Amino acid sequence: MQAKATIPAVVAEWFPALLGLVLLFVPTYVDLARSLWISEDQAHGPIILGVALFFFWQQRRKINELPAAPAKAGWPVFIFGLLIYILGRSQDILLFEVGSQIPILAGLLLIFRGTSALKLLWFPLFFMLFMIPLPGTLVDAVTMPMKMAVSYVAENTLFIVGYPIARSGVVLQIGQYQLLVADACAGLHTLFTLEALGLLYLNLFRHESLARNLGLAILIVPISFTANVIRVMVLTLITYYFGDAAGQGFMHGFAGMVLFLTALLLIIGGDSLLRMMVSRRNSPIQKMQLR
Amino acid sequence: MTVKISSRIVVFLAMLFAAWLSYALTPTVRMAKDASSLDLASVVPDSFGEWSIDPNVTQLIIDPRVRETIDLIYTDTLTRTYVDSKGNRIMLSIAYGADQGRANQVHKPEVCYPAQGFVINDLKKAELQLQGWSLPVMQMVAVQSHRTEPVTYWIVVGDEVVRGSVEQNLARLQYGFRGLIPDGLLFRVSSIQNDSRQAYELQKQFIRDLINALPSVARSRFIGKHALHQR
Repeated sequence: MQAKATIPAVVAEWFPALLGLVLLFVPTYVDLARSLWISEDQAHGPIILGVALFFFWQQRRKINELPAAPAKAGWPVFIFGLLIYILGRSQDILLFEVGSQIPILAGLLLIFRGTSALKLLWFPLFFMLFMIPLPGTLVDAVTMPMKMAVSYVAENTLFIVGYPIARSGVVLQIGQYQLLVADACAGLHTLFTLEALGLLYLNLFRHESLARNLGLAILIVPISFTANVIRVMVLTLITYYFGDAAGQGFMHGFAGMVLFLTALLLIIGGDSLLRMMVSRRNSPIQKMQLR
Repeated sequence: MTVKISSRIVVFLAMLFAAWLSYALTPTVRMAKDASSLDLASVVPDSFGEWSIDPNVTQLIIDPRVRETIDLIYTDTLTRTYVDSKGNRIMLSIAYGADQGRANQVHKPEVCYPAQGFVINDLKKAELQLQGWSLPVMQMVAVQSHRTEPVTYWIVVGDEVVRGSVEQNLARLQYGFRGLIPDGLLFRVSSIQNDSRQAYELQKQFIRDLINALPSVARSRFIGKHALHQR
């Protein structure tokens, strides 16, 4: 029973499931590559997919060597995944179509190997959540208040330091220039991209402390907001000093880089802070264990 | 130890079946009526009741980038300003899209206006009482600096008037389950007025006059079949 599996045996076991996955999701990816993934908001989709696939590939041997102990939950989870796939794919509901990947994969793992396989692969499955496009209704509902808040903070900060700036809704007026704070500046998608990056960072560096993981995941929300405020202020100042053309031209891309650099620095800074706090709290326990 | 052969086969067949079913259930039939019969510019009269096209407002030239997006989403659009004998002005905007799949859905004004820098106040559902029947509409006040623009609008998906994105998507699904791709129309009326109650009343009169002046085919397109039946 513990004999090393031969290659044909491995293929015979996994091939039907893999072929099924290809049948289901390759058309989805082809469609996504033509629509959603081209848009600026969702360009991180293929990267998330690639990272998830990489994690799966890395664990392929471990998974195969696990004993087959099918969990009862496997079939219901798998069937549920297929149902939302059918609904999502036929009715063009991306939330369901893309989202169905997670229960279908989780169900397959449970059917083929059991809960131990799910434990091994929980991270890529969880990570795939970030591929799911948010429902438009939710995006519309959240984007406007976020934009207002970003504009408000940017205006007030620049006003306090003495710039001639005024605001009406999401339109900023600085000197003779008028700037419309666009949807992208709301930072909803930045937030999700950063959350995904932050989680990946945590996973790669194998932080075991739950407090630190959770703390950083929560910290990313204000970090993303701050980074967006800084981007809007940078763009406003570029326009003020160098004119409209600069603000809309290549400097726009520059401001985007400023955004990610700021966010990255804040994340690393926040993480170091959390590490100090967590290790200080945990240190007596560790000493006891050492003895 | 490997998983049972029967499980492997069932898993594969289930996925094959799901792939086939989702393909078979994808709506393919367009509800869109033949485009020639709904040329917005010729269906909507230049003058009706007390209203006529405002000669003082020249046709706006739209930013080409905006134009590109509009052409992508909509099959036909109409933007006009009407004026009555007392000098009240009403801006009318109608947009028709033959394909209401997710990507090309008619844009809701409460989303478009803020994108242009407006702030939306008092977005609400309302019923216009028009000579014995009622028309479900949305109303909102769009504000930008000193410009206050109350808006009355509705969206027709297929044969139904829908309000809000939940209803809009549900209507899309209802048709989708029957294999149909619905068409859609946005009917928007607005005026620049500080008093929103006066504005809504004026807009209601305008809508009533316009609907009465429309040929019956166009009327059912503009307000949905079911609203008409309540007459």
